[in-house]
Amino acid sequence: MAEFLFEIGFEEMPAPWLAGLANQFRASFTAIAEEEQVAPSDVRTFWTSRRLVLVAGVKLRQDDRTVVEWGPAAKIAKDAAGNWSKAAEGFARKHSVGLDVLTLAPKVDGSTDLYVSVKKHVPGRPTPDVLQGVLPALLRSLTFPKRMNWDAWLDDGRGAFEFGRPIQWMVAQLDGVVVPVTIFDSVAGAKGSPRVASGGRSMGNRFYPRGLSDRGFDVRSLADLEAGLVERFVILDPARRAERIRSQVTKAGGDASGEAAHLLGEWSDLVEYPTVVVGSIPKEFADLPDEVLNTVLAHHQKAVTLPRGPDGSPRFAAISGGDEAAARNAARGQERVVIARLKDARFFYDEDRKRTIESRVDDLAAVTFHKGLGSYKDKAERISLLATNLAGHVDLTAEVTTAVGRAALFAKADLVTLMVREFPELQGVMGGLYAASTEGPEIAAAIRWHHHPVTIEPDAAPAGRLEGASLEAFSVVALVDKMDTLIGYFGLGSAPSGSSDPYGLRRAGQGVIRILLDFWTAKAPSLDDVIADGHRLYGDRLPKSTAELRTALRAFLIDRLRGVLIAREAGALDEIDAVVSARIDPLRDVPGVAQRLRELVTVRSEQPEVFASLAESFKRAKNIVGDIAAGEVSEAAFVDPAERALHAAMVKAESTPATDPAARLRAVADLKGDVDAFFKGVMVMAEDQKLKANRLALLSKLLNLVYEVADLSKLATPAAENADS
Amino acid sequence: MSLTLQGIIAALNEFWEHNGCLIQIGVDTEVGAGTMHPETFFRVLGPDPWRVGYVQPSRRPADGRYGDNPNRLYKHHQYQVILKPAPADVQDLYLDSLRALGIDPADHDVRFEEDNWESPALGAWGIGWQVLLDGQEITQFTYFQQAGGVNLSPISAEITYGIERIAMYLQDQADVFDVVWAKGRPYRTVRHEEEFELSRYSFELADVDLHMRLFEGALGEAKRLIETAGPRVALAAYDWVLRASHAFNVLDARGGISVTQRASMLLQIRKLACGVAAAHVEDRWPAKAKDAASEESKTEPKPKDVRGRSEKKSTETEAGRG
Repeated sequence: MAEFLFEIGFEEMPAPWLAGLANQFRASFTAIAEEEQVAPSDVRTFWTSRRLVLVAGVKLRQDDRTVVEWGPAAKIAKDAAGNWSKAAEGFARKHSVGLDVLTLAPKVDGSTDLYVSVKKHVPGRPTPDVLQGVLPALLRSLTFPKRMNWDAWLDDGRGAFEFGRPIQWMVAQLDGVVVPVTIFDSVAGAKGSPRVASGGRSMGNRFYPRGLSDRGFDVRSLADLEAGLVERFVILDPARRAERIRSQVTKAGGDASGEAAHLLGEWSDLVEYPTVVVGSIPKEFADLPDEVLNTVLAHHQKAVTLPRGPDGSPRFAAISGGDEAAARNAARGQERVVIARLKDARFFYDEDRKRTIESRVDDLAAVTFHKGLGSYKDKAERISLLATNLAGHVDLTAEVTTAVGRAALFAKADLVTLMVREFPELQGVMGGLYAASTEGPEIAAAIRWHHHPVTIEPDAAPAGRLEGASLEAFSVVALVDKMDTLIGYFGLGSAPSGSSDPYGLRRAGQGVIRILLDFWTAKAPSLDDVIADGHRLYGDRLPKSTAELRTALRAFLIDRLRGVLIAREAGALDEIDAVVSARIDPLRDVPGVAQRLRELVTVRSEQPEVFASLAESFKRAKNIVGDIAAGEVSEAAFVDPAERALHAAMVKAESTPATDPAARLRAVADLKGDVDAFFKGVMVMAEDQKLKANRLALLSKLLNLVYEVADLSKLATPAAENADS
Repeated sequence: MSLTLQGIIAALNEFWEHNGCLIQIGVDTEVGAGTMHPETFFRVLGPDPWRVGYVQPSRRPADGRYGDNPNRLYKHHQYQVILKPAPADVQDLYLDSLRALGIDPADHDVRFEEDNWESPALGAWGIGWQVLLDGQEITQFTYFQQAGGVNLSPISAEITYGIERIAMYLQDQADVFDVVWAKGRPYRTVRHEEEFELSRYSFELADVDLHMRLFEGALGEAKRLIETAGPRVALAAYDWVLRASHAFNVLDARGGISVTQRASMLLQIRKLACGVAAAHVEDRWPAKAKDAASEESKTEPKPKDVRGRSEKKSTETEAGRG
């Protein structure tokens, strides 16, 4: 076993690409080395902004192999006398073997067609030779979000060699011996002089330690590389850079988990030797809202906010590639940039607050929502009416109803503030802050959060941040804003298709489902009514009819519901299908769907075989009953004991409360024996029409028994599973 | 004593002259960036080596703030360097140029952060970085990949220093108008009135109809030259492309154009810039002209492109802002 070390040194590669590049590097090398039979083991990669490093165990030479070479057919290889022919002699010469080792054999076992053949021993090639042949392919195998021409050339028959950034050096060592690979200049579309050749010299940090005349150092192994880099201010392992950042942020009093975690993750690949610097902001900016401070810091400087200093002045942490001695300059420079940005923000904030949120609604007439759907003022007026109407329908108080009408009318007004024009990510946030000076807290809260929820997790904002009237107002405004958007685009026929969803309609649809599932506290709303109302408010802008729109949107929203359930609940696909297909509108009671799903999952797991069997029986019952409108069951009409027994059992099952899905499911599971006996012994489609009608009625009743919990015929049966697979 | 603004220019001239650059003068037509100078636009085309450095006054009407904003200017100054082909140690050369300005990178956080430059008007783009000095962007560093729609070979390195920003940094000034241009001569006394009047003009006074006519007239003249005047007109036609581009910038600042109009105007400038580049390649390297023509059609911008590029324009605006 030998150690293969390959380092590609380059000019600063974009940080977000590095982890993915390392994955590709490892996968490509493993695939290539396996194909070349050098048995790669323990393949590991490391990276910094200036290098990708791969280390692996490989065999020192390929295994020897035996290969069979085939020559001419027997009748050509032997003459009439049974001696080897000229053709056979030629074949032997070609493979440098004597006639004595030639044999006749079938190419396919058992065939009578014989051919001349020879077994040849192929000695394995030494791994250095093998690697030398494959390193160009390994270099080429890396793909980048954006490649660049850097006038480079690889001598592998393909010529011009693009990469993510120019390559500066390469270390390729197999147990201390260089594996050669050379990148050439490309001159006028042809190979020029050598530019970068692999060797045994790596590079340290660009600037540290100070005063070094040569930043290079000799490397024969990973151990050499690691030792050399430690002395030269390069932390090769990304996990150790991340840990250093985390501990320094924590030491500065910051929270390295939470919302900052994402930014801190980006930091660790920006520089080879990360040092966290702490800056502070003059007190004159202390009254800017935290959201504004955080956004300015993150947006412009990828910096994170720290708890305020003892005198109340805001503090922040930023990343630096300089050493501890350079930290003062780095912090001072960051402060300077941040302060310049905050001065802008201060100006925007003060200017914006000179006007009320209400006074801005008219300005929205100049901002286009969508060419076919009017301006944002049109949208604001529509969602205000939608919100008011919806609040009335779900019996919210008069105060909340008034509040949602105002909140919806003002929800988009921050689009015409200076702050949101500069920082679009503060949309909603600024509206909420500005509204708070003239409007009630529930109006400000509804505006603040109405873009949400934007992700699928149950704890995503604004979960846990709102209660009472604020929660009610948020739910209504956020819902109607999204519904209005969906109604508009679907009404124009611009539903998302495939991977194309340029207006973010899937996210809006998911938001609607999440509001109903996680935030709605009032009486369940009718989305059908919202759709009809929204369609009406668009006037004659929408080519689609209300009915077309309702059909399309319902299917879309039910699909979103499935998506949310799949992502968040433990249910299998067939279980989700069963509860969504229950004979009860899933959009009228979204939390109920999730609740029924959980109970179905639990009850089914108690007795999986019973439910597999019931699924089959329910499929059968559904097929038989079809679209026939079944009448009442008449006990007097029973003739077979099996139908009588099933009916009696069903009556018992019916006595479980319909509001307790688990109890109903268990009761139905208890019917299995009677159901089986019924199908075994009773002929539903009897000659006697009265008998047949009564049996159909009985089956129909069986289906209805649990139809409001789940459509059990949707559950997988062993047979169906086979058919699928 | 830190360098004055003119000291910075002198130091960069000296440094780049020492490194084989021709020291040129900024172009005498209004432009938004040093990239638009013929010394960049034409020199990066074709196979001939070239090294040049120059100061380019860069006008961006929409960035004007009447001289009230400590960071934003209607007109700032870029120091532009083109190294063709890009030397293998170009990053080290650049870092040496910072040392020549008195900045020892080891005493600061000097970082090359991904920032790919694109010019919607010139059909040009490149791969590179913004160079951050203690968190402040002081340079745009680009490996040109395409100019005027022509794929480039060899690749040029373009280094664009924001002179005002570097001066603010070196002199520790929070307000660009407090920068010392020459000893005893603050930036304010050199440029403030110009900032005010030119901002006032482009936001309040510029005649929209006139600028629309200027835009169309300039484009028409460039088009006429390229299409009907035979060979050896590319440089003359390019001047008209620059004039059209400036008229567009004034209209943009004045709010005289809608979003769709904006995209279509940018597209027209771009098409002509590509035509000019192709004509120049045809004049200078007739054998290459065929490739260039095919590149041009390949890079026919799609509507999506235009949106992406106009977003990018603000990045470009950031790049050399003073």
